[in-house]
Amino acid sequence: MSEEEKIARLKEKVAKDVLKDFPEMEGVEPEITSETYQSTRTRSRYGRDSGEVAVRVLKYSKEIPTFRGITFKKVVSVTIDDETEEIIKVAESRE
Amino acid sequence: MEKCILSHKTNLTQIYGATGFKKIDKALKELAEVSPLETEIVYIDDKTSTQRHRLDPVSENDTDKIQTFIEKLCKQYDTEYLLVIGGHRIIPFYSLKDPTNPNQIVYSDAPYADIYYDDLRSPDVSMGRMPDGGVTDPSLLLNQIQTAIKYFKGITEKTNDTSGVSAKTWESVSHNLYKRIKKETELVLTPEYGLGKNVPEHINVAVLRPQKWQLERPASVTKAMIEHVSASVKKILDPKIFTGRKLIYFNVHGDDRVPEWMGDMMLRFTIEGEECILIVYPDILLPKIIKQANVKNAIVFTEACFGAYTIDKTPETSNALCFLNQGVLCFVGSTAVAYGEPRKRYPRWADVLAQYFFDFVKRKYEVGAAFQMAKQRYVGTERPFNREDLKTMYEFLLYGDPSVAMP
Repeated sequence: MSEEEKIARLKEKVAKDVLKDFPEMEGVEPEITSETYQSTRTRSRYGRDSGEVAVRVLKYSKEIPTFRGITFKKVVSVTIDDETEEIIKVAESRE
Repeated sequence: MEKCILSHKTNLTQIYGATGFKKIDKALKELAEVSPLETEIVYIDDKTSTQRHRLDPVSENDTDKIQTFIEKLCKQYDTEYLLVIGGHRIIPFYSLKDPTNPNQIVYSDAPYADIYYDDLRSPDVSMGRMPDGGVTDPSLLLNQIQTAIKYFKGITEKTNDTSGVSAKTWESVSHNLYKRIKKETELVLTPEYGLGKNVPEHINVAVLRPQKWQLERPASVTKAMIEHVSASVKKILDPKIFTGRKLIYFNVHGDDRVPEWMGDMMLRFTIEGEECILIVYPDILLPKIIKQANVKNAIVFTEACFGAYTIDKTPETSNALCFLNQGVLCFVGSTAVAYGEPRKRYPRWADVLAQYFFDFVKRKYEVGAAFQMAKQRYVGTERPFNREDLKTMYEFLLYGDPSVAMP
């Protein structure tokens, strides 16, 4: 599978599983990064034998103008296990 | 030295004058005297003060040099508690690169508490700070010191019960966390509760759909939206909800540009045949509300973004400083954008830190130790440890004397 196909599938998964709760992110293109995190606990669910876990992070940001004149910035960051494509974490900013 | 009270004599004197400094110094000496721990006051820039510990003074506001000084001092005595007196102008916060955005910084106390350096900035000492924002009157610092003195003298007002405020959007996460703090106590949800029904004075609104109405819309549409939104705030918050509480928890929005903390709810309805989706952010807390409640001796944890951002703020423009000025024992919050679980039941990031912190506080650990252990447990349990996790470690800090416990 090509990288483009993988990214497209991850974006579709996030849209279906996560972004349905965030209509404000409709049409927002995520910033996508590939990262490797140390897994220092051997009993960690996501710990590989190497002690590392590879993830993709899809970060959606949107500035939302309000009636008060202040613009709020909303960030939803989705961390996906690169191997299993399981959504591991979804972070929403408290701003 | 079990506990170190650390400050900067020159900076205190420049801001509060010689008289103001004398008052602060006198109060600190009383605090050291009444504390059951072996306590010393160290002015980091004062040669007489530092040479007692065979250390050179640090006169510049250089965070690396201050950190090195703290590290040497704490290692020398196996110091358990570190209390910093003053905010960014006195002993500056560390400016750490934001792990989620390299173009931004996070103000942090984490490196000061991390004396055996590790990448995750896990604390090795129980640290607290008494901040003074941008005020020029020493009363804010003196009030915080007096709160701790009264605690050690046993002069504490009776507190019982707990209270919590959550954005409606994060209700399930907050309930899940809150039931661990106290069973059968209801959370106050916002916008069911708010400070008023007026838009935009008390309720901030943003149009998500349709896009054509986000910036401009017909007057009739704006009027209909305001009517819908105003109806969402059913009850006006009574400040008594915070009175006489042991623990107060907030899972709400915050911002460094305005003092208000806000709730959050999505509203869907139809106007003039168009499906509308609005985000509603009602004000839920302002300094004037805190002043109307008796929050003495409470322990406060807020997940609000910038909940503990105090640079250039005053008790009139910062809920954190207002809480401290009004006599809370301890305040934990974030100096930057904080993160939590969006919709599901299980806590993450700030939610997790709040849960761990309250777990230890309820077991009567000193608040500084509870905060230190909460961060250590966080490092030990969160996997994979991503950028938001690291930022959580940086941005959350504790205000107040770290060696007090829940009365």
